[in-house]
Amino acid sequence: MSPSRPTKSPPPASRRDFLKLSGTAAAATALAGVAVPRVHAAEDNTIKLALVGCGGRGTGAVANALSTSGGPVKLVAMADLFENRLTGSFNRLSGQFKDKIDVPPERQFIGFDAYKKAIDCLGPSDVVLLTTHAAFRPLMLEYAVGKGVNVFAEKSFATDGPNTRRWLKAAEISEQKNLKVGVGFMWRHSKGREEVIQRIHDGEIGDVHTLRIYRVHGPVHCPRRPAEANEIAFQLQHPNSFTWVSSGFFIDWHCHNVDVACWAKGSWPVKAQAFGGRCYEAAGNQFDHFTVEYTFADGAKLFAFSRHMNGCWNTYSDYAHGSKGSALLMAALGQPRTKLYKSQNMVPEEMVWQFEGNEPNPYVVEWQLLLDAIRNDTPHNEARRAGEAEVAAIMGRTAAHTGQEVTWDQVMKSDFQFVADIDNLTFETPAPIQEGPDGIYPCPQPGLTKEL
Amino acid sequence: MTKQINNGSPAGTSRRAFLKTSAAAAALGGLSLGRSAHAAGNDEIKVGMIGCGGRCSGAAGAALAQGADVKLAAMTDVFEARMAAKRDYFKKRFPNQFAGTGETCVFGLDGYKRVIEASDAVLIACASKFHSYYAGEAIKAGKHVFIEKPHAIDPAGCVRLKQVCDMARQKNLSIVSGHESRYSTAYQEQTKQIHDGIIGDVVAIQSMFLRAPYRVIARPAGLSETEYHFYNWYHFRWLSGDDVSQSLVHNLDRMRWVLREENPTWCFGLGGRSTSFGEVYGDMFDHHTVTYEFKSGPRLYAMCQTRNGCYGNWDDIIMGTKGVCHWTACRIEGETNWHYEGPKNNPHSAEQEILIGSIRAGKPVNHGDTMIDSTYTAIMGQIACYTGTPVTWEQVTGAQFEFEPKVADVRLDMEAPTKPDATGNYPLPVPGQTEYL
Repeated sequence: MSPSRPTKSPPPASRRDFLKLSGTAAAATALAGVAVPRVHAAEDNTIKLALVGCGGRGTGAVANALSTSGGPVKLVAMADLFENRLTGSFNRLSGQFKDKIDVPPERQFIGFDAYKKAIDCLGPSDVVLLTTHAAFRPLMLEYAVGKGVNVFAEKSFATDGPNTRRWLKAAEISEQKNLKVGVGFMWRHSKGREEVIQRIHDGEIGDVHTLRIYRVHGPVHCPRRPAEANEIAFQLQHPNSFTWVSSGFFIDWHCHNVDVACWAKGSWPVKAQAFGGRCYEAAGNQFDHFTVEYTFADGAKLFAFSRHMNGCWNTYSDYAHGSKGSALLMAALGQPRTKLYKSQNMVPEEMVWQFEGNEPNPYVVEWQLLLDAIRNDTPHNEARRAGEAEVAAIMGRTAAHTGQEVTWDQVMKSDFQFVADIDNLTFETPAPIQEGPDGIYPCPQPGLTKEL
Repeated sequence: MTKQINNGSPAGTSRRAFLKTSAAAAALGGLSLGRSAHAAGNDEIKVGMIGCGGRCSGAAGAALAQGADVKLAAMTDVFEARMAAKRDYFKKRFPNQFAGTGETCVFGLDGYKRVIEASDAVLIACASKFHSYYAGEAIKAGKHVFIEKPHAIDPAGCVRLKQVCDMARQKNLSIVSGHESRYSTAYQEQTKQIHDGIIGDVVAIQSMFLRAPYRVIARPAGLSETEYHFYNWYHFRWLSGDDVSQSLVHNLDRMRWVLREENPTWCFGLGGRSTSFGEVYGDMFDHHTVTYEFKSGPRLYAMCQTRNGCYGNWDDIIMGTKGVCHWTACRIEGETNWHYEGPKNNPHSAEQEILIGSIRAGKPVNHGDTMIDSTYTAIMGQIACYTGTPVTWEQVTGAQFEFEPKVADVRLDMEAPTKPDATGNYPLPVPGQTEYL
């Protein structure tokens, strides 16, 4: 499939389907821009949640969902591979939200197939939170969509070409079924970014010729695996250190910035070439630094810089440069403080605009949008765009790991898989990456490594 | 000591005698040594080679091609075999211009002294650490200099280079830089087009020097550790300064030219090694990216790589408000399309034409104004990659750092400054831990 523009809303087809399905009255009001009658409110107003993946982000996402306004929300099921993770999350949420947590032991599921049982607890107006690791996201989306359940999926969304295609296929079906899918690209719902990017699209900095994004900060280290630890369990418990689990540092951590930069540019890149390496063996099987050069169809460049080391200079920021000026897309994590400058020299004297509005917590905003869309049955499906951002991110990582120039089409057609049969993974499956005799996990070797 | 070779260089002795007298005359009469040295009737220009690798041989060949009056009078290399090979080559290839003798074709670390003594112009292209030092010794001795890049590999070398260039100016001697892009007629015309505004204001630049590892040389039997470093010097930081200084400096020099000699305010670097493992790769990184910022606005995204089996590219892409320049293709696209179609010259010949021409004309050339700052630009990028910490222009130009051991302390029989570990790899810089400034 050819990439859509990253600014695009769900395609017209699903919109039409939605209108057909939801009847003329709803369609008329939706078109008139008036609040749609609460289709969902007819029977039971409560939206039920199932949490699949009870780590910090999943637990946080439940808290964000429970912090929205517009109607009752309740957590009814939880699933994880590890009981202690589930219990910890349950205790934390119960303490904070009390009666909004309705997860009795019979709806607490442990194991590789726990996600199915949790999703099976939901009905058509409910939401499953897919917050495990990227390796499992496509198959879980597929299952949820098959069951007709709405989805909130945390980034990143896939790990390689085949499971990105699987994600995109499930995304397509979710559109056909008029399901609501929100994804963890919360920066897409940041007011400061929305406004600065609108101004860029309106031509205020001219043609965008380069963008640069930085995720340059301290590391998440991989400890030595204890001799008695199960290899699969150990790797799943240290997702950032293993490409097959999380899609790796570059994607899992930097895909936000890649997504925002492409949003600002208004298109996806067509190819990438990259450098990467490992200066510290504690990075697991990961590179701990990357430079990716993306090229867009019009020749514009996106430079992505990623480093995970202590003792070095840190920045977490995004910039766009146009023929008539430049833009600060993000000054620091959580504080975009977007600005426009009349030249390439981003100094205070050259500033012509800055975002002055309030920046509501985007983690809550993304939930408000999703739950409102469910209650009002308005279109809201970010799955396709998320899958396309994943393709862009995989281009960059693959270029860094292999040392080759990698095109969009190569990723889309790639048959390379990190895990042959992720659906049937167990703790007994031989680990996709094996530690070396020195206890160090091998990292890619550009020029030799194949990932396409 | 190598075998004595008598090439019958009748000019040799008289030349030295002449220099002694003319130096005295110059001092007394206030005449410039550089001018008088050649203008005084002896129509020979004796060049000498410090370094007998490909680059210095190329420079000598290009110098000899400037005319029969140019003689190759001396040469030296750390290794006898390398010197002997080039000595035999030049003797055969330029029988009427080879004027070396057993006294002037020498080897070892002190050979440069003999070469300086025996030459009017010294061609310096050896282990880069020594470039600015040898240039200084040559200028002190009243000799013209061609200095290959990198002219220095560390801030201390740059400080010395500046002193050398100043001294050359005072003594009216030529010091010609090996930043050969500047001598390309195609690039000159292209730069003029950009300066005349064909692509509008420059808003961003991408520079690439992405290739397989430069010549790697396996360890031969019988060499000490230190000798092996010299034998395979390109791959040892303390001798070569690594790949930003060695390779990317070409791009950086060109882009400083495009930016009218503007210096960067600071740079951010990322680098490491991911593919080129083994002792033949010494202690270099195999990939670097450096982003430079300039006060006038544009950022320069510069990257170099020495890895086998990986994507390669050698180009500068200059983006302007009205168009884009693809440097190596000499092609500009945008509001005005342009392509260089004029005659192309050989910049390596051109740089010797400048050197020899300046001596013949008695009009010294001094490239200090551009070469020092281009060298600093490379060094700051190299250090930013090693340390993981940005480097400002003020920091690098105010620094005194010199790769150990210092030039004055280097001996062939010294303990090697770095040794391979049990896996056969030399220790690398560790960003976040390594400090240089």
